[in-house]
Amino acid sequence: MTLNRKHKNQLEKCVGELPVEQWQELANVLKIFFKEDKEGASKDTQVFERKWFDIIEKNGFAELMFPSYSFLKALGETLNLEDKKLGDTDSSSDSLVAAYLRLLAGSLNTISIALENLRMKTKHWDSLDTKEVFAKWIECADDAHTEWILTAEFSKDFGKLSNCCISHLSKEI
Amino acid sequence: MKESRNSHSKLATLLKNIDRSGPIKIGVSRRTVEFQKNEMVLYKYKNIGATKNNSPILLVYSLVNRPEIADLSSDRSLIKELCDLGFSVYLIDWGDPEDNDSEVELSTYIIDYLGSAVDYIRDAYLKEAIDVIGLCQGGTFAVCYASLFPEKISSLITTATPIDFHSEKDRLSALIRHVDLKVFEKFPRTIDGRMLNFFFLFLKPYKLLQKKYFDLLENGHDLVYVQNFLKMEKWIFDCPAISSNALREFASTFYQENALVEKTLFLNGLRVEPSDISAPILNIFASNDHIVPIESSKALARLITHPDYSEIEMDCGHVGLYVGKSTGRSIGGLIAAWLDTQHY
Repeated sequence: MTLNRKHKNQLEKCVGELPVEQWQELANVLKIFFKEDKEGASKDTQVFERKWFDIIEKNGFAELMFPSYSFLKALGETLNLEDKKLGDTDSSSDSLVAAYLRLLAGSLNTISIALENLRMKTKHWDSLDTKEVFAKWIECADDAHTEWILTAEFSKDFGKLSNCCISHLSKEI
Repeated sequence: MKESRNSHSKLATLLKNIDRSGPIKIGVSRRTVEFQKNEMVLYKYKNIGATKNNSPILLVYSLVNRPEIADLSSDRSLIKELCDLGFSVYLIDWGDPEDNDSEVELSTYIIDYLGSAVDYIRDAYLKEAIDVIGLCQGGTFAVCYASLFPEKISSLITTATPIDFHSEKDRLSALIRHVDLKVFEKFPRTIDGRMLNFFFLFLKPYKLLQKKYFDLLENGHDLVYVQNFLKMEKWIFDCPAISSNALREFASTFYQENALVEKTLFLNGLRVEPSDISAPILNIFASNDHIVPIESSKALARLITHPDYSEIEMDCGHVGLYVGKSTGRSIGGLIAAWLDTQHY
């Protein structure tokens, strides 16, 4: 054995699951949209965003595209918060559900901010290849994520969710 | 279709190169065990070339991940560089605490283990004081130790070291600030180190969970790139268990109470006061550090009184400080040059 089998499997899984073709398709659509936007064909960012999310949803790789969102969703699944709505449970659980919903909404909001920043920061879409669009998206997405996690609201909500997860884990252990 | 074929072909090339990479080994320099205390091991590295007389230097690493980041490969090794420059390099490996070990606290690491290693080297070289390099959290430990036992430290070098845990851009602090650490009291005596990885990945999820692997696929034809990638992955995901006591204490004392800056830190009943440090200090930090913001490291200047204090800002990220080549400057060379001005 030349490589730790478990480690190699993990690596192959990560690379194998990376939606490269989908991303390339998406990056090309992004370029067209932004180009249109620049030319005044579509000035409504919300319309653009909706189209973008539709494409992601249609292709079924939203969770891979947005690791911050999927990470929070995974925590929610662990705690069975997935289908909970405010008012479904007692008041102490309600505050946890509220925190969880705020975190999900906040995570989605960072995607909108990242998209807008990507659009603002990139001037010459024609000259960019797929890899460059991808690199710029990653930069904008991580920047928006950072801005968000540095807010007091995020810190409190994340603390609440983490406490519940840790407590859940300690019971399992 | 063409792009899809390209991607599959890239993946096939990458997997072939993963197999060709052979056993992934990190921690490449030759070393011997000098001293052990419970799970802590003090290593001494072999000098191949000329040695500077009487120049031991002790590296103190963090409790998170393993110290091999300082010796990742023969061309990316702070340890090898210092050895090549003639230093007698020692390294503390905190080891893996076990559930049946006696209670391990923060003071066990800082006063007992680090203190024993310092005393061992002082005795071996018949020196009153020795030079210490702290890496990341190991730097925080070294600052605490140098504050408590200033007479035993001749020079202190801190690298990517968190000091002010409430600095404005501290993402890790934002994640931990409202976690109820009392919950950890219900845990076994050790916590699986992999649990902490989630926190670190969440600091920069798009780069660390997507782009990194995309770049790997793009560069899968380059065997050296693949080998370096695998070494780094091995280091990142090989996390030792952590004493839940020490983790809880560190997170609450430093991340939540910011005790070093607030001057409320006590270890074994001894007050930790950085203004007591009597050694010259070199503080090195990375401008793009997403784990320890430079404002956090630079806070050390405000806490000390020793006039001989220097700072170096490197244009790289947290890990790049130890393994990066992009800056064109190595911290080993900078440390050696600074130490030369102190001792010779």
